[in-house]
Amino acid sequence: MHIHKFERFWIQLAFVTIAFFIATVVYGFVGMNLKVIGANKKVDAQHLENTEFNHPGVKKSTSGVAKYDVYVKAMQFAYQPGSGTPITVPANTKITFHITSVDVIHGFEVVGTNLNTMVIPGEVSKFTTIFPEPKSYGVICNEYCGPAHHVMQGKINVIPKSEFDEKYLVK
Amino acid sequence: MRDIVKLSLLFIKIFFVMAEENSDHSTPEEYPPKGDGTIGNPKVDQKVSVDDYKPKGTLTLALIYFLIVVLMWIFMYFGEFANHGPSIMN
Amino acid sequence: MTFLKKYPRAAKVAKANFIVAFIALTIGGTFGLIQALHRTDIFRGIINSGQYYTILTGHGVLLALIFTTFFIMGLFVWGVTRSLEREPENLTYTWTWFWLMVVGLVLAAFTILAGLVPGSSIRAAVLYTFYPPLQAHPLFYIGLALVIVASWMAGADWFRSYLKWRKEHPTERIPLLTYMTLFTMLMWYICSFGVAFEVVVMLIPWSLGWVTNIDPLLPRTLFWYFGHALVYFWLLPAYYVWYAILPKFSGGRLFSDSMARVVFIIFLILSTPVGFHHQYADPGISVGFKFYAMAATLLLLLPSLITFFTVIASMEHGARQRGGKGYLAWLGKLPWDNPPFVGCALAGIMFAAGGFSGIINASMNINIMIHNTLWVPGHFHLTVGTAVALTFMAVSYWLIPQLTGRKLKHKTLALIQPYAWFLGMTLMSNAMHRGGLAGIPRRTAEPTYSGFKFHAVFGSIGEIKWQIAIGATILTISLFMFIWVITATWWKGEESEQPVDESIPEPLSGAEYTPAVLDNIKLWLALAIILVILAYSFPLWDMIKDGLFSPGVPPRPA
Repeated sequence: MHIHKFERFWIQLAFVTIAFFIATVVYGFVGMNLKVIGANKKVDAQHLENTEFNHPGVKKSTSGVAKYDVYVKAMQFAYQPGSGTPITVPANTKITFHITSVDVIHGFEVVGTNLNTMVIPGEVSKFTTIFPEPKSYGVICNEYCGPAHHVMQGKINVIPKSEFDEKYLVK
Repeated sequence: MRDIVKLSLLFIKIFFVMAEENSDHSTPEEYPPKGDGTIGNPKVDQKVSVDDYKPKGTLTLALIYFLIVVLMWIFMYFGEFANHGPSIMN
Repeated sequence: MTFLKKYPRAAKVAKANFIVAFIALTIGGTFGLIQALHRTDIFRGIINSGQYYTILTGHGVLLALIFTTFFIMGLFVWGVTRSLEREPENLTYTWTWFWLMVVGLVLAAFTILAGLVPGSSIRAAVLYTFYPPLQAHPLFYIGLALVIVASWMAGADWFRSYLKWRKEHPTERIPLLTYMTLFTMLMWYICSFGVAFEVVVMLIPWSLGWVTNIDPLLPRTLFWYFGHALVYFWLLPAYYVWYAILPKFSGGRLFSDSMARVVFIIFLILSTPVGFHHQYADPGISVGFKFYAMAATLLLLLPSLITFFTVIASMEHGARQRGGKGYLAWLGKLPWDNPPFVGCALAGIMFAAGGFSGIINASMNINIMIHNTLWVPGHFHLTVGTAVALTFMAVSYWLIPQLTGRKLKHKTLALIQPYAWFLGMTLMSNAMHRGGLAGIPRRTAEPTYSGFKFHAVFGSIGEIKWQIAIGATILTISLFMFIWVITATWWKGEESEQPVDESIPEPLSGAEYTPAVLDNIKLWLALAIILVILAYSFPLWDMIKDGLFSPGVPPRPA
C-alpha cells in the first residue's frame, strides 16, 4: 500500500502517543492511587431492610480496609444522610462510602473533588478515600433523576480527627 | 457593458450544457478541476501532481498539534486531576 | 447535467430526508437557546424548571437522533446514487423506509412535546438516553424503535444497490462514496442491535405494563453498547464529506484513497467494543472490562489522527494549486471566501479541539473528575455540534443546489454563517469545559445550590455563565442564517442547468494503490463481531443471568 513517508511517520508517532496516554493512566491508577469504582455485590433496592442501608450513616468499619463505613441512600430528591443531616467524617482517616438508590439512577458528586459516581438501584457504589483536612463539601446529584433533580444536594462535613467521636456514629 | 456580460454568460451556459449533452457519461471526473470560483469550486492557478507534492505544511501542523495535545495532557493529568482533592483509592 | 436531472427519483428521496432534517434542526436548535438562557439564569421566562427536562429531551432527540439520521440518509442516498450511477432499485421500498422513519419521529416527538402541556399525562422527559426506571409514554419507545428499524431498511437498500452494481462490475474497486456508506451502515447494524434489543424486548413491554419491574443497569449498558458507535454514525458521514468532497472544496485532490478506506475499517471494528467508557463511574461493571474499553478507545484515536493528516494534506494540495507557499503561509491561500470550504474547515479545526477533551473523557480515572459535569456537553458540542453539524450545513450549500436545480441565494449570509457558528461555539464550549472543571453538573435546570460555591480554575463562574448564554445566542443566529439561506435557495433560487460544479477530481493516490483486501467486507465484519463479543459477552451475561428484568425496581413516570 502506498503511504507517503510523512504520513507513515505521523502514524508511528500516533501509536507512541496512544501508548503514552495509556501508560499515564495506568501509572495514575497504580502509582498515584487515582482509581475508579468497580463491580460490587448487588442488593434488592425494594428490600433494603436486611442490609446496612436500613440505618444509613457513618459506622465503625469491620472490613479492615478503612476505619469507617458511610452508608448513604439516594432517592428522589435527597441523600440520607447528607441532605437533612450532613455526613460528618474525620479528616485524615480512611473512609469507605457505600451508596445505593431506592428508586431511579442518581449521581453522587462531591464538588471540587474526584469523588464522583453513578448510583444505580440494585447496585452499591463503593469507594474508599481520605479527606486530608477539615473542610465542608457540597454533594450534588449530577444524573437526571426527575423534575426536581436540580434541588437534590447534600453536605459532607470533614472535622478534625480529634473532634470526631461516638456521637457521629449510627448503629 | 452589462449586456455584453449577460450575453457572454449565456453563451458560456449554452456551451457547457451542450458539452454535457455530448459527453457520454455521468459526472465528469476531469482534472485539473474547472475552478471557476463558484460555490464549492474555488479558482485554481496551477496543477500540482502527485510526484511534485510533499505535504510539509500538513506535517508542520500535525507536529504543532501533537505538541499542544501532549502538553495539555500533562497539565490536565498531573496538574488539574492529581490536585483535584480527595480521590477514589479503593 | 445536474444530479436533479440525471437522477430525479433519488433527488426526491434525498430532498425529503433533508427537509425533515432541517425542520428538526430548527426546532431542536431553538430549544438549545431556551436551555442556555434558563440554566444560566439569564432568562427564565419561557419555561419553568420542571419543563426544562422536556425541552432538553427535545433538544437531544431532535438534534442528536433526528437531524443527524435524516441528514445522513439524504447524504448517503445522494452518494450511493452518484457513485454507482444507479437510481434506487425499488422506489416503493425506498419511500417505505422514509415514511416509516417519519412516523417513528412523529410519535416520539409528539410524546416529548405533549409534556409541555400542563397537566398532560403523556410525557417523555427522559432525555435522549432514556435510562429506566424513569419511564416515558410507550409511544416514545415505539417511535424510536420505528426509526431504528427504518434505518436498517435504508442500509439494506444501499447494499442491494451495491450488489446489483457488483454484478455488472465484477472486478472494479468499490467507489469511495459507496464504500464509506456501506462501512458506516455495517457499524450501525452492529451497534443498533443493542439499543433495539433494549427498546423492543425490554422498554416497550415495560412501558406498556406487561412487565412491572426493570433492572436499570442492563438497559443502561445496552444503550452504551450502542451509544459510542452512535457518535461514529454521526462522525463518519462528516469524514465522508471531508475525504470525498472537501478536497474539491479546497481546490485540490484527495491525498490517499486507501487511507480513507483503512480509517473506515478501523471504525467498523472498534466503535462498539468501547462502550464501557461511558460507564466508568458505574457500579456493577468491573475495572477489568473498563480498562479493556479504555485501551480500545484510545486506539480509536488512530483513525482520527490519520484523518487529520490525510484531510489536511488534501486541503494543502488545494492551497498549493492556488499558489500557496511555505510551511504555514499556504493556509492563507485556502478559499476562505467559499462557504462550503469554510464550514468544513472550521468544523475540522473545532474537531481537533474536541478530540483533546475526548481523550480526557476516554481516560478512565481522569474521566471521573469531569463525569456528568458541564465538561461533557462542552466536548460534544465541539464534536457532534460542530464537526458534524457544521459540516452538514456546509455541504448543504453545495448539495441543495444540485438537488433542486437552483443557485445558492444570499451567498454573503452563507459565508458569514460558519464563522458565526465557530465564534459562538468557541465561547459556549470553552465556558462549558471550565464550568465542568469547577464541578457544575450537566443536565440540570438550575445549577445553583445552597451551602457551597463552585470555584472556577480559570476565570469566574459569572463570566462562564455569560459566555454560555452569549455563545448560544450567536449559535442560534447562525442557525437561522443557515435556514434562511437554504429556504430562500430552495424556494426562490435562480434556476440553472448547472447551479454548482458537481465534479470531483480523482484522488492523488487512487484506488489502484489500494490493496484489494480493504474491500473484503466479510473479513472486516467478522473481526468487528468478534471484538464486540470479547468486550461485552461476560458483562452482559453477568447482568442477564439473574433474570432479564431483575433485580428490578418499579417504574417512575418522567
